[in-house]
Amino acid sequence: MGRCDCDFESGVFPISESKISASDQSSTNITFAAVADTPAGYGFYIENLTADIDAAHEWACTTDGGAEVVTLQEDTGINPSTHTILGTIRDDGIVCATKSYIAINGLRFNTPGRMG
Amino acid sequence: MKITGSSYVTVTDCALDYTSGGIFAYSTCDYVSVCSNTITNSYKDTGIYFETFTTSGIITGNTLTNIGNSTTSPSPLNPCGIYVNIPVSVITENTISEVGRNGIQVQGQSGSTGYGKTSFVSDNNVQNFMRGSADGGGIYGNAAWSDLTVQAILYPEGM
Repeated sequence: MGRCDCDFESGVFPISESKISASDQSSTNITFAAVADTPAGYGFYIENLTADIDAAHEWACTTDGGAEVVTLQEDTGINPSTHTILGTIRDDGIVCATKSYIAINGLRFNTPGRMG
Repeated sequence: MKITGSSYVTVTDCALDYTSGGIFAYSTCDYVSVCSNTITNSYKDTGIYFETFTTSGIITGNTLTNIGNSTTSPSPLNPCGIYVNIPVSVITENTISEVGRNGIQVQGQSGSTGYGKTSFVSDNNVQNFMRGSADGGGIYGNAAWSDLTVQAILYPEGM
Protein backbone atom coordinates (compact mmCIF):
# COMPACT_ATOMS: atom_id res chain seq x y z
CA MET A 1 0.00 0.00 0.00
CA GLY A 2 1.35 3.41 -0.89
CA ARG A 3 0.25 6.70 0.48
CA CYS A 4 -2.66 6.61 2.87
CA ASP A 5 -4.10 10.03 2.23
CA CYS A 6 -5.83 9.35 -1.05
CA ASP A 7 -9.39 10.46 -1.56
CA PHE A 8 -12.48 8.35 -1.65
CA GLU A 9 -15.19 9.73 -3.83
CA SER A 10 -18.71 8.46 -4.13
CA GLY A 11 -19.30 9.51 -7.71
CA VAL A 12 -22.11 11.79 -6.54
CA PHE A 13 -21.67 15.50 -7.10
CA PRO A 14 -20.95 17.53 -5.03
CA ILE A 15 -18.21 15.05 -4.40
CA SER A 16 -18.23 13.21 -1.12
CA GLU A 17 -14.85 12.10 0.00
CA SER A 18 -13.08 10.61 2.95
CA LYS A 19 -9.41 10.31 3.76
CA ILE A 20 -7.95 6.93 4.54
CA SER A 21 -6.96 6.97 8.20
CA ALA A 22 -5.10 3.65 8.31
CA SER A 23 -4.01 0.83 6.04
CA ASP A 24 -2.52 -2.62 6.43
CA GLN A 25 -0.49 -3.90 3.53
CA SER A 26 -0.51 -7.52 4.67
CA SER A 27 -4.26 -7.77 4.99
CA THR A 28 -4.97 -5.12 2.32
CA ASN A 29 -7.44 -3.57 4.73
CA ILE A 30 -8.03 0.16 4.72
CA THR A 31 -9.89 2.29 7.22
CA PHE A 32 -11.74 5.49 6.49
CA ALA A 33 -14.65 7.50 7.83
CA ALA A 34 -18.11 6.95 6.37
CA VAL A 35 -18.69 8.82 3.13
CA ALA A 36 -21.57 11.25 3.32
CA ASP A 37 -24.58 10.68 1.06
CA THR A 38 -23.43 7.25 0.03
CA PRO A 39 -25.99 4.65 1.05
CA ALA A 40 -24.90 1.21 2.15
CA GLY A 41 -24.20 -1.04 -0.79
CA TYR A 42 -23.26 1.73 -3.16
CA GLY A 43 -19.87 1.95 -4.72
CA PHE A 44 -16.78 4.06 -4.55
CA TYR A 45 -13.44 4.24 -6.16
CA ILE A 46 -9.95 5.14 -5.13
CA GLU A 47 -7.83 7.85 -6.65
CA ASN A 48 -4.22 8.81 -6.47
CA LEU A 49 -2.82 5.65 -4.97
CA THR A 50 0.56 4.83 -6.43
CA ALA A 51 0.33 1.19 -5.43
CA ASP A 52 -2.81 0.76 -7.52
CA ILE A 53 -1.18 1.82 -10.77
CA ASP A 54 -1.27 -1.34 -12.87
CA ALA A 55 -2.19 -0.27 -16.37
CA ALA A 56 -0.90 2.05 -19.05
CA HIS A 57 -1.87 5.71 -18.64
CA GLU A 58 -2.74 5.37 -14.97
CA TRP A 59 -1.00 7.88 -12.79
CA ALA A 60 -0.83 9.41 -9.33
CA CYS A 61 0.47 12.67 -7.93
CA THR A 62 2.05 12.33 -4.52
CA THR A 63 4.52 14.20 -2.40
CA ASP A 64 8.02 13.15 -1.49
CA GLY A 65 9.94 15.31 0.93
CA GLY A 66 7.77 18.28 0.07
CA ALA A 67 8.13 17.87 -3.66
CA GLU A 68 5.21 16.81 -5.83
CA VAL A 69 5.92 13.65 -7.78
CA VAL A 70 3.91 12.30 -10.67
CA THR A 71 4.06 8.54 -11.16
CA LEU A 72 2.88 7.40 -14.58
CA GLN A 73 2.75 3.98 -16.19
CA GLU A 74 3.50 4.24 -19.87
CA ASP A 75 2.63 1.90 -22.69
CA THR A 76 5.03 -0.99 -22.96
CA GLY A 77 8.31 0.05 -24.52
CA ILE A 78 7.65 3.77 -24.30
CA ASN A 79 10.29 5.93 -22.70
CA PRO A 80 8.68 8.94 -20.97
CA SER A 81 11.68 11.06 -21.77
CA THR A 82 10.87 10.79 -25.47
CA HIS A 83 7.71 12.86 -25.34
CA THR A 84 6.00 15.65 -23.44
CA ILE A 85 3.70 14.90 -20.54
CA LEU A 86 1.16 17.63 -19.81
CA GLY A 87 -0.45 18.13 -16.43
CA THR A 88 -3.43 20.19 -15.33
CA ILE A 89 -2.87 22.83 -12.69
CA ARG A 90 -6.46 24.07 -12.39
CA ASP A 91 -9.47 22.08 -11.28
CA ASP A 92 -12.04 23.68 -13.57
CA GLY A 93 -11.86 25.24 -16.99
CA ILE A 94 -14.22 28.07 -16.08
CA VAL A 95 -15.73 28.91 -12.72
CA CYS A 96 -18.68 31.28 -12.85
CA ALA A 97 -19.53 31.99 -9.23
CA THR A 98 -22.14 34.57 -8.25
CA LYS A 99 -21.80 36.29 -11.60
CA SER A 100 -24.90 36.86 -13.66
CA TYR A 101 -25.62 37.84 -17.25
CA ILE A 102 -22.64 35.88 -18.55
CA ALA A 103 -22.28 34.42 -22.05
CA ILE A 104 -19.68 31.72 -22.66
CA ASN A 105 -19.37 30.96 -26.34
CA GLY A 106 -17.09 29.00 -28.60
CA LEU A 107 -14.41 27.89 -26.16
CA ARG A 108 -12.61 24.57 -26.11
CA PHE A 109 -11.59 22.84 -22.89
CA ASN A 110 -9.28 19.87 -22.93
CA THR A 111 -8.25 17.74 -19.94
CA PRO A 112 -9.12 20.05 -17.06
CA GLY A 113 -8.60 18.60 -13.62
CA ARG A 114 -12.30 18.36 -12.90
CA MET A 115 -15.05 20.17 -14.77
CA GLY A 116 -14.70 21.61 -18.21
CA MET B 1 -17.24 24.34 -16.20
CA LYS B 2 -18.69 25.21 -12.85
CA ILE B 3 -21.54 27.69 -12.47
CA THR B 4 -22.68 28.49 -8.96
CA GLY B 5 -24.96 31.13 -7.54
CA SER B 6 -25.34 32.74 -10.96
CA SER B 7 -28.31 33.61 -13.14
CA TYR B 8 -28.81 34.41 -16.80
CA VAL B 9 -25.78 32.42 -17.93
CA THR B 10 -25.55 30.94 -21.42
CA VAL B 11 -23.02 28.37 -22.56
CA THR B 12 -23.01 27.80 -26.30
CA ASP B 13 -20.82 26.17 -28.92
CA CYS B 14 -18.14 25.07 -26.48
CA ALA B 15 -16.19 21.81 -26.70
CA LEU B 16 -15.17 19.91 -23.60
CA ASP B 17 -12.95 16.88 -23.93
CA TYR B 18 -11.41 14.56 -21.36
CA THR B 19 -12.96 16.11 -18.29
CA SER B 20 -13.91 14.65 -14.97
CA GLY B 21 -17.37 16.14 -15.45
CA GLY B 22 -18.83 18.48 -18.02
CA ILE B 23 -20.96 21.55 -17.30
CA PHE B 24 -22.23 21.81 -13.74
CA ALA B 25 -24.65 24.49 -12.53
CA TYR B 26 -25.77 24.38 -8.93
CA SER B 27 -26.08 26.26 -5.63
CA THR B 28 -28.91 28.63 -6.44
CA CYS B 29 -28.61 29.30 -10.13
CA ASP B 30 -31.40 30.39 -12.40
CA TYR B 31 -32.04 30.84 -16.11
CA VAL B 32 -28.98 28.92 -17.22
CA SER B 33 -28.94 27.76 -20.83
CA VAL B 34 -26.56 25.15 -22.17
CA CYS B 35 -26.96 24.87 -25.91
CA SER B 36 -25.06 23.36 -28.85
CA ASN B 37 -22.03 22.21 -26.91
CA THR B 38 -19.98 19.07 -27.41
CA ILE B 39 -18.87 17.06 -24.41
CA THR B 40 -16.75 13.99 -24.96
CA ASN B 41 -14.92 11.69 -22.59
CA SER B 42 -16.34 13.02 -19.36
CA TYR B 43 -14.73 10.10 -17.68
CA LYS B 44 -16.06 10.26 -14.13
CA ASP B 45 -19.08 12.42 -13.76
CA THR B 46 -22.20 13.71 -15.45
CA GLY B 47 -22.03 15.57 -18.74
CA ILE B 48 -24.51 18.36 -17.92
CA TYR B 49 -25.71 18.76 -14.36
CA PHE B 50 -28.34 21.23 -13.08
CA GLU B 51 -29.31 21.34 -9.44
CA THR B 52 -30.62 23.84 -6.91
CA PHE B 53 -32.05 26.39 -9.29
CA THR B 54 -34.58 28.99 -8.28
CA THR B 55 -36.71 28.20 -11.29
CA SER B 56 -35.61 27.16 -14.74
CA GLY B 57 -32.88 25.92 -17.05
CA ILE B 58 -32.61 24.94 -20.70
CA ILE B 59 -30.46 22.17 -22.18
CA THR B 60 -30.78 21.80 -25.91
CA GLY B 61 -28.84 20.72 -28.96
CA ASN B 62 -25.84 19.31 -27.14
CA THR B 63 -23.83 16.26 -28.18
CA LEU B 64 -22.51 14.08 -25.37
CA THR B 65 -20.35 11.04 -25.98
CA ASN B 66 -18.63 8.66 -23.58
CA ILE B 67 -19.89 10.01 -20.29
CA GLY B 68 -19.15 8.55 -16.88
CA ASN B 69 -17.82 5.24 -18.04
CA SER B 70 -14.73 5.03 -15.88
CA THR B 71 -16.57 4.37 -12.64
CA THR B 72 -18.56 1.32 -11.70
CA SER B 73 -20.41 3.23 -9.02
CA PRO B 74 -24.12 2.42 -9.14
CA SER B 75 -24.91 5.67 -7.38
CA PRO B 76 -28.53 6.73 -7.91
CA LEU B 77 -27.50 10.12 -9.24
CA ASN B 78 -24.42 9.67 -11.36
CA PRO B 79 -23.03 9.32 -13.83
CA CYS B 80 -25.62 10.45 -16.35
CA GLY B 81 -25.48 12.19 -19.67
CA ILE B 82 -27.80 14.93 -18.41
CA TYR B 83 -29.05 15.25 -14.86
CA VAL B 84 -31.52 17.89 -13.71
CA ASN B 85 -33.02 18.46 -10.32
CA ILE B 86 -34.61 21.87 -10.70
CA PRO B 87 -38.18 23.18 -10.71
CA VAL B 88 -38.56 23.78 -14.45
CA SER B 89 -36.41 22.33 -17.22
CA VAL B 90 -36.47 22.05 -20.97
CA ILE B 91 -34.28 19.28 -22.38
CA THR B 92 -34.55 18.93 -26.13
CA GLU B 93 -32.66 17.73 -29.20
CA ASN B 94 -29.63 16.43 -27.40
CA THR B 95 -27.63 13.49 -28.73
CA ILE B 96 -26.26 11.29 -25.99
CA SER B 97 -24.31 8.06 -26.37
CA GLU B 98 -22.05 5.75 -24.38
CA VAL B 99 -23.17 6.61 -20.86
CA GLY B 100 -22.34 4.84 -17.62
CA ARG B 101 -25.84 5.18 -16.29
CA ASN B 102 -28.90 7.17 -17.38
CA GLY B 103 -28.92 9.08 -20.61
CA ILE B 104 -31.16 11.77 -19.11
CA GLN B 105 -32.32 11.84 -15.52
CA VAL B 106 -35.04 14.18 -14.33
CA GLN B 107 -34.91 14.06 -10.61
CA GLY B 108 -38.00 15.03 -8.67
CA GLN B 109 -37.47 15.56 -5.03
CA SER B 110 -40.39 14.73 -2.84
CA GLY B 111 -41.74 17.33 -0.46
CA SER B 112 -42.30 20.99 -1.01
CA THR B 113 -39.40 21.86 -3.28
CA GLY B 114 -41.23 20.93 -6.47
CA TYR B 115 -37.97 20.09 -8.19
CA GLY B 116 -38.36 18.28 -11.44
CA LYS B 117 -42.10 18.57 -11.45
CA THR B 118 -42.36 20.71 -14.53
CA SER B 119 -40.04 19.38 -17.16
CA PHE B 120 -40.21 19.02 -20.91
CA VAL B 121 -38.02 16.34 -22.44
CA SER B 122 -38.35 16.05 -26.18
CA ASP B 123 -36.58 14.80 -29.29
CA ASN B 124 -33.44 13.58 -27.64
CA ASN B 125 -31.41 10.78 -29.16
CA VAL B 126 -30.06 8.44 -26.49
CA GLN B 127 -27.93 5.42 -27.33
CA ASN B 128 -25.86 2.91 -25.39
CA PHE B 129 -26.67 3.89 -21.86
CA MET B 130 -26.51 1.90 -18.61
CA ARG B 131 -23.02 0.70 -19.43
CA GLY B 132 -21.90 0.60 -15.80
CA SER B 133 -25.07 0.34 -13.76
CA ALA B 134 -28.03 -1.95 -13.42
CA ASP B 135 -30.82 0.40 -12.37
CA GLY B 136 -31.85 3.27 -14.60
CA GLY B 137 -32.77 4.02 -18.17
CA GLY B 138 -32.28 6.04 -21.29
CA ILE B 139 -34.63 8.72 -19.98
CA TYR B 140 -35.14 8.21 -16.30
CA GLY B 141 -37.49 9.94 -13.91
CA ASN B 142 -37.19 9.60 -10.21
CA ALA B 143 -40.24 10.64 -8.10
CA ALA B 144 -43.63 12.04 -9.05
CA TRP B 145 -44.25 15.00 -11.32
CA SER B 146 -47.24 17.20 -11.77
CA ASP B 147 -46.32 18.26 -15.27
CA LEU B 148 -43.65 16.16 -16.93
CA THR B 149 -43.67 15.68 -20.68
CA VAL B 150 -41.40 13.18 -22.37
CA GLN B 151 -41.26 12.80 -26.12
CA ALA B 152 -38.22 10.83 -27.03
CA ILE B 153 -36.30 9.33 -29.86
CA LEU B 154 -34.75 6.47 -27.99
CA TYR B 155 -32.54 3.62 -29.09
CA PRO B 156 -32.38 1.23 -26.14
CA GLU B 157 -29.20 -0.45 -27.22
CA GLY B 158 -27.73 -0.08 -23.79
CA MET B 159 -30.22 -2.37 -22.13
